[in-house]
Amino acid sequence: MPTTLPVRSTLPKRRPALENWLKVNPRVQPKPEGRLPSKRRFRWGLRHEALCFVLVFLATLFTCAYADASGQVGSDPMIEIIIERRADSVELYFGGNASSMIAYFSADQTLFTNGSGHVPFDAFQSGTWLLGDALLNGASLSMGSDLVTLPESLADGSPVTLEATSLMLHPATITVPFQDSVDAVMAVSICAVLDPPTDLRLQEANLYAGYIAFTDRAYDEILLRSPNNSASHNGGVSVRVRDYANGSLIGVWEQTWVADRPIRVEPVTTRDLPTSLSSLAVLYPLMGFVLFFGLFGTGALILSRRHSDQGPTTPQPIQARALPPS
Amino acid sequence: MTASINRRTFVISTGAIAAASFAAPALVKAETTHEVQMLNVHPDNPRQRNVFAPRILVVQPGDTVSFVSVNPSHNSASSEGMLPEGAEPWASQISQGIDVTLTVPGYYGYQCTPHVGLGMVGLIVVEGEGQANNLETARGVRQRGMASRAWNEIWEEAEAQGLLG
Repeated sequence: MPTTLPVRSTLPKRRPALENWLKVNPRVQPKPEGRLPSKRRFRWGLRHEALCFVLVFLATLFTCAYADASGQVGSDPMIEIIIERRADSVELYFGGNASSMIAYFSADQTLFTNGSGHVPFDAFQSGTWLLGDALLNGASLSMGSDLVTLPESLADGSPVTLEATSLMLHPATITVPFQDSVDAVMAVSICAVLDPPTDLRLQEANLYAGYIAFTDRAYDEILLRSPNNSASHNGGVSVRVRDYANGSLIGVWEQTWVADRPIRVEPVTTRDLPTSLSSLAVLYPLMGFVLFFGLFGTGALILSRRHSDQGPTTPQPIQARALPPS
Repeated sequence: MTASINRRTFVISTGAIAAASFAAPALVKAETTHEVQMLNVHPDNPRQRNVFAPRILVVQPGDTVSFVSVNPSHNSASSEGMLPEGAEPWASQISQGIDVTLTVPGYYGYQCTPHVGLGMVGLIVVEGEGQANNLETARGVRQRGMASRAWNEIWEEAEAQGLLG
């Protein structure tokens, strides 16, 4: 018995008369009747949800990247360092727990306390830059090929000196803004409370210190070497560095600072130098806006096109009038 | 010997004393008082912290400069080596204002004691004969930290205003 195979026609199917008429009159669209079959409804829902997940994921990713660029993520390091570079100078600001920092830098604790072991806020009224010099006496700083020294070493003929500008201690219970050099200037200079406590111990205080070095190598690589002491060798300290150039954030690095591994802050190139912080403040949200709505619009367009390719949403035949004679 | 005062002398003397009494406050008032504010944040530039406003002041001999403590933690103190010869140094308490009357022409440098390293400094120019006598000495004083930059800016600004001629 001969087998008859079904033959599939390659000719395009003739469109029903209604569809032809709708092409001529696009404003008249049939209203869907009934619901999609369950299988198609499932696929459509799945695609929709997947797209939403992708969009939310991308938005979250962008938000995280933005937050990272602002330096607002990550766990709290032991020492925060803010670097502000200008054409003629580099400002450095250190912040962290007073007791830990003084121990790490091998500074003399008695310089920061009175006879009863408390912080002598009254004594700070005559200036605290000598305390700042004493704090960083064991560390060293290099910019490019220049070794930056503290003022005491000026007689050595070093081309660049690092001078303390001010140092301040605040009760650890008070949050002091310390994100950029403007915050830092306040942190190192102004008492956070009108009546400083007279019984504050170093363990209960945060220390902020500011330094400046006048140099024409401000945009070069910076190397910070910690003092070679037991604290440096015993695991070191976690450090977060925020690097600014002319008020604009260039980068944020988190490193562990140990005696044999200096903190390295990359050089700033002209490519990295934004015009101003305000332009970045506008640029980032604008990028986020464009990216989010661009992705959303693209996704919606793709889905819309796929949806229309699948034909009318209803499989029910539509009762229509006969075509008018042409 | 007895001293006698006639009526005309009495009237003239009394009148002169009365006129002097009325005129004296007016003469004192003619000497101007200038205000300098001690601030955490510059009123026109929020990125500038720990400032005197105005930072450069031009006065006449006998004028009084009143340093006003707007924000706490600041003071005003004359800078060592930056006063004309014969001028009296001054220093206020922290968070306290002070009135300083300047009589000797010249360049007066001053600072906030705890914040000089952050560049909280200022200049008063008392105009008059011998004004330039201490200019070179004042400009030659070694400054600490950011005060170095602040003084460079001040001298440049003063020069642009024609105050160093």
